[in-house]
Amino acid sequence: MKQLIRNFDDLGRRQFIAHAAKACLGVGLLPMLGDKVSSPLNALTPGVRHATARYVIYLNMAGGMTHLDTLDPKPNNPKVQGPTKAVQTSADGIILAENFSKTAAHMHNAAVIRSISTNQGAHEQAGYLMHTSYVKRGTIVHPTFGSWVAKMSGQINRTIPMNVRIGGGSNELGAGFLESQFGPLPIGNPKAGLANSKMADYLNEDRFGRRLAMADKMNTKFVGRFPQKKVRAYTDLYKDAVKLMRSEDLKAFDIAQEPKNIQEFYGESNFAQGCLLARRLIENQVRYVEVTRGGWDTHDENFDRAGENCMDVDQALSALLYDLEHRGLLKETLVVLTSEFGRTPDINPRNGRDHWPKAFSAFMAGGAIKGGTAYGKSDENGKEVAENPVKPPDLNATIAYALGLPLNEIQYSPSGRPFTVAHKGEPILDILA
Amino acid sequence: MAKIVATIFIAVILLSAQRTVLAVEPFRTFNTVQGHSMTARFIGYQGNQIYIEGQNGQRFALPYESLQPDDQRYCSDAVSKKRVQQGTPPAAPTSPQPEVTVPSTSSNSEPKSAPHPSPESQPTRLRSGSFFSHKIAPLGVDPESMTSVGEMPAPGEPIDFQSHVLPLLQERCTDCHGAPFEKNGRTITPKAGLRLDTFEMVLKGTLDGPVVTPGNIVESVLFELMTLDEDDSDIMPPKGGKLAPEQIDVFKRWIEEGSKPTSTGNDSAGGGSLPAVGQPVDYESHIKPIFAQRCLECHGEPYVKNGRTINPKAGLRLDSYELIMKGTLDGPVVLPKNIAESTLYILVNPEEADDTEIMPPKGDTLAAEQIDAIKRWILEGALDKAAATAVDPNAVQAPSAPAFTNSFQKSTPLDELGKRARPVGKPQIAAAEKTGAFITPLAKKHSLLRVEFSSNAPSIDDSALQRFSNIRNNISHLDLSRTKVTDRGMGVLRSFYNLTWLSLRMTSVGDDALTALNKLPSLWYINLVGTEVTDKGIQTLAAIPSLKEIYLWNSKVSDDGAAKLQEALPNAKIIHR
Repeated sequence: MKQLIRNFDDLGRRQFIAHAAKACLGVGLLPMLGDKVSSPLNALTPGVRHATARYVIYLNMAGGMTHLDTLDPKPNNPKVQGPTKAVQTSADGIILAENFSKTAAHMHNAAVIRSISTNQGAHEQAGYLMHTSYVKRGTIVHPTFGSWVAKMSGQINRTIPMNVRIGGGSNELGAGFLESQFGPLPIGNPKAGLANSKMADYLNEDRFGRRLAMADKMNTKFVGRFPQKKVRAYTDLYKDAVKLMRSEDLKAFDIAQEPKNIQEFYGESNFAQGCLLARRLIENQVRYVEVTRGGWDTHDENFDRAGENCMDVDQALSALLYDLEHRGLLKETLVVLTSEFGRTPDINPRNGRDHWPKAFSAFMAGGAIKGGTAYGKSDENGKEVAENPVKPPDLNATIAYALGLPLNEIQYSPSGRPFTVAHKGEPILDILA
Repeated sequence: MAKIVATIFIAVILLSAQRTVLAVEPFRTFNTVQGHSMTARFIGYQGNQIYIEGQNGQRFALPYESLQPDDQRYCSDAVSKKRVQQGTPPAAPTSPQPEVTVPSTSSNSEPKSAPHPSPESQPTRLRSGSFFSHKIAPLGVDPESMTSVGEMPAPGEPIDFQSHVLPLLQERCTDCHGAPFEKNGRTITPKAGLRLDTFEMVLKGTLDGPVVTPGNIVESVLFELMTLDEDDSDIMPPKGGKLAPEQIDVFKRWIEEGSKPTSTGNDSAGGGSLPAVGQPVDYESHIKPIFAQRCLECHGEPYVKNGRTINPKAGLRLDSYELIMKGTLDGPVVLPKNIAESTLYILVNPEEADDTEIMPPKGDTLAAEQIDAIKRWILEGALDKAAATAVDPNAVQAPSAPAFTNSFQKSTPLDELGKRARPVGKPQIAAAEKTGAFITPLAKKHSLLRVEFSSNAPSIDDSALQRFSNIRNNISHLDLSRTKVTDRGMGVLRSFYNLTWLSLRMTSVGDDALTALNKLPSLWYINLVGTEVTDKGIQTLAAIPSLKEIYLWNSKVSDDGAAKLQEALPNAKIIHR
């Protein structure tokens, strides 16, 4: 007993702050002296953990993917399930909707989270929350998760940006208050590769060089007078662009270089080709690739449309997982598939489902993931979270943790406000290997 | 001004006291305003000079003002109640002291009298000519006649450090080789980093090593330098002439007798005597001296240096029992009866800790017996007194597995490997990066590295591998995919002992490349996708039991070959088709 009292007595300043942080900031829910057991806060200490994943392919199902017809089927509840059937997966005890039957064969490498819950029911705000971990507000623009990754992990490939976004997505989602170089490089059409990256036909090297020198001359005075991060970032952008333009790495953006059978294996759609491009990019050490697949806002004819979407998504996703695994890349790549919200379990009169942010799902596969796990549960109707609620910051914190990013490293916005990579989310250690 | 008035006032009190027959004053702890302390008894006074007698009978005189107010009150009280008389009682004359010196509390002869030694203690020296700096001589001895320094030992008498050696050192050496001190706002550190003001410091020597080798005068630099010719540029002391032959003889005899500390009749002298087998370990006499000797320089009381407070490292103080048990800011370092989680034990034990974390960080590790004593002390409950019964240290074995359980670290196999590898410096990494490689540590402060190439991969050939030789023990992840490396170049991988992850994807390497890998103890991932490797080559892989993942897609390996490999490595994941 004396020993115990002494332990309390001797809580040092650092321990006190750690405990206070846990208690007040919600970064841990362990009681006092909790660090005698392994605490999630330990993971937040910068640099103590080496990354288990290096690359992220984030498949964004824009519009609100119906969770009941994909990752969280309720086969015993036909009232909410509608005509969608469920299939067994390669992991014991985990079922997916039949729409994901090809992906089901990779479930032993993947985890599914079925208890994500937010209070954002509009596309823009919900997408913003999923991407930035912060609620959208008028006073500041938060960086997307990919921008955080680009900012915080070293740039390995020195010519290609670390953060690439394929197939649209809101332009508002970018580097936010971080330097613009960390924002996503947008690629509209994966088949077209990187648009406008070739030197124009009417220019030769010499003329191009002179134009650059002239631009440089005109900029010098301005840059000298305003030696600021943003101004420098602007000139750096030119340099990076020119470097990329002349680089061998441009080939990474050209999926025409992939064999025909591989292209067909992924599928013909933009999304499928985007997944193929994503694989090519991570082979060239791009850290974060987001591929967006729209068309999920199924207020009408949910079941037909979900089925169509999934034919595309299921083939591309399973091909991506197969391809990554056979190349030995899955071990270091984290593939995430999720949406900004789920859809109502109640089927509306137009045979559709409406927005439902109270319980939805995510799929995560790759080396950092403990394969064959299901985390969290929705209730029998898929309406409410029944077990282990997860918030978007927790999801992003899980990815960041797998990437070995310091979750508690503070970045200050220009207005001097502190922000962290996943808004103090807690990594879901249960699904990490 | 007030102080002078007080001094005169007290002097008046002291002088007006009358002689009576006195009882002996009890031993108590005297503290000086400089922070020194000593257990002694008050035996007399003369003017405002206080005479005290240490437990070993040695006598000291100190100015009344140098005492803490409590002690001043005690002395005036003793004088006014006539318990102590003027002058010193005519007891056995003490050894003559060279100067008025408050005994340095880190001095070895008084380990018991220094409950709270200050780590940078410095003998208080009074300016010559100062009012208080008269030479102290035993009563009846003319101070002016005391020319010889220190007591000269009789022939055949064992040399005592305190009374024979230390006075010589103080007279001739400690002006340059003493405790650091402040002068004009700067800290003057001892020359050559050598301090000769206490027994421990003499034995510790310079940063390059000890200057005294017990029992061996030939290897004792201290002795060698004082016996050089007087015109030799290296002779010590450099000024004031060579030591007298009989003084040199004292050093010679002391070293030949084994460079022993002063015997105080108590076995706790020196670096702490060690408990006998079966005898319980006693904190005071066995453990504390070990810490005092080897730890307190960094883990002692905070002190001020160059106007800055130097705090104990890691916030850990080892200078008292309570502070040891308190541990660092992150938690205790001693868990009673639990050596596996007592960081203090783990870090001093070279079998548990590795190079970078072992304590003490400089000099030799603790002696095996000292480590054993610490182990026994912890096993016996880490009490501040001797335990009732001794514990057999061998009854409980410290787990050899990762015992270093810092609560901030979830140790992975890679972390364990990393701890064994010596970190490489930035210059070596920069040199290796000249190949075009991108080199990153696995995590911040991790000693293992990941080496990879990006856009430039297709232009990389075997010569790049040759240039990693300086960091080869630190490379755990090596990504050679899409490079032009060949079988011949792969030979150097033989000595990449910490390689765990190797990708040769989309290279033209073949069977011969794999022969270099069969001695790598930790290789668990190999990627041979798109290589020329055949069934013959992967037979080499079958002999690497550490392999967990093997990628053979698009290589020349047949289904049969892959199946055979799977038989040989049943637990490995083999991706073939």
